[in-house]
Amino acid sequence: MSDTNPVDGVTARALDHYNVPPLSAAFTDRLIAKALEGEEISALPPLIALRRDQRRGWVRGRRLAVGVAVFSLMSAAAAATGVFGDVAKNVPVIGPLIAIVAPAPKPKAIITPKPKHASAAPKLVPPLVVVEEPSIEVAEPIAGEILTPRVRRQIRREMIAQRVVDQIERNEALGITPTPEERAKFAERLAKIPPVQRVALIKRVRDIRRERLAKMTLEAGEIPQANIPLLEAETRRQFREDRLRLREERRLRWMQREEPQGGSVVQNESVPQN
Amino acid sequence: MLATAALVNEDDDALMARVALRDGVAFRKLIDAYAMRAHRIAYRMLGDATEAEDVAQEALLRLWNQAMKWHPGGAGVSAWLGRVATNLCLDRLRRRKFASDEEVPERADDAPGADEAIDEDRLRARTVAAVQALPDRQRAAIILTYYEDYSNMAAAGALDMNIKAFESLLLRARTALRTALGGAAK
Repeated sequence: MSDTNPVDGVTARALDHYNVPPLSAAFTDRLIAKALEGEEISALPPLIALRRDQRRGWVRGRRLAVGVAVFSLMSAAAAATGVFGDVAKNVPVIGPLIAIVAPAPKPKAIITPKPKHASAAPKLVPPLVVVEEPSIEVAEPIAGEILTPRVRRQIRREMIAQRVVDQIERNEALGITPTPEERAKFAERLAKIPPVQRVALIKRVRDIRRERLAKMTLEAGEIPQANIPLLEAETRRQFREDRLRLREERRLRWMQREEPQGGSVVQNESVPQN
Repeated sequence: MLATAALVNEDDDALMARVALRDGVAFRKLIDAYAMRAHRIAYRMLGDATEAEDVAQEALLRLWNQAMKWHPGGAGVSAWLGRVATNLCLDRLRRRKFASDEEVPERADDAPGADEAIDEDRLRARTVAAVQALPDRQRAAIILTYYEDYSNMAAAGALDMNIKAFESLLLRARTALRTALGGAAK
């Protein structure tokens, strides 16, 4: 470019007049001093660390250690309370801590019904005494387990039966005979129970009575009585009345269904007797 | 010429090796050899002797501080210093524009009478005004190629430009100077 468009002579002559004043006399010395000054500063030994800084380091380390310990304890507590589930028990450090804080729960006993007809009868039981296993296996309700209505009914029936037997035994021990009013009251309460449940309850009461009597006689070395009458007359009568009432209700429902078709309805039809 | 340049570069490398070891004598030799060039560039770029000395000093201190990073076999200390000084000047000029409210003159000052008889001082003043009126990079192009005898390639490298852009820049700078100084030189 300088060849194709060089600075012309006039311009060059003018440019040559742009002379430069010399550097100041002390420029070199000043520059070297400045360069070496930086070196001297950097060549100084490092400052002695203040005790304050060392202490600050220790304070920081202590805070760190306290923080780690607190975090460990909190996470172990959280794991022990089940926040992390079973996963936390497999963690190397946390797992043993959990085992210390919260030992593993004992395995829950699973109650399985024993076979009702055991192959070998107990040797101590006399031939006249038939000690049956409880027909209702009442398992301890497991926390969190949802009980089915059937199981709930069984538990309730068992409790009522136990209470009735206790009351009977108390009366017998005291020599108290129930008055007709008390018997009527008891029959009235029994009548409120649905027939199927009532039969099952009465059967259970008898069974419990029989078991307790057998146990008592075994302990005393006596032969128990085979039959234990328990309100049999009232029960039979109540059962019969219930059955009649159900039959009557069924018959009335059937007649109401038939009525719109113009069929004659027989009123006050005699109730068939059993 | 090439042999001389190679010899100079070889000497530069040796001196820089000593400077890297913090040899003050070697640094003094480099200052004596190249400080004036940095000062010339800075003076013509900035138009102020004091600022020019500051720029020269700063460039040479950078050379001292970065001696340990020096790569032997390069363009040499002269080219390095010229590049650093030019860029320091451009930085200062840029800052000066932002710091000052004065409008930067784009053209040569016409105050000195063109018709009057031209003596040396007047011609110098006219030249200084014309050079200072150039845009910064055009001024740098003229200073590096005319005053410092840089090749176009070296000057383009100093200004971080490609050669084509630099030649275009140089052409515009020469045209502007010719226009500004033509009447004065006649």
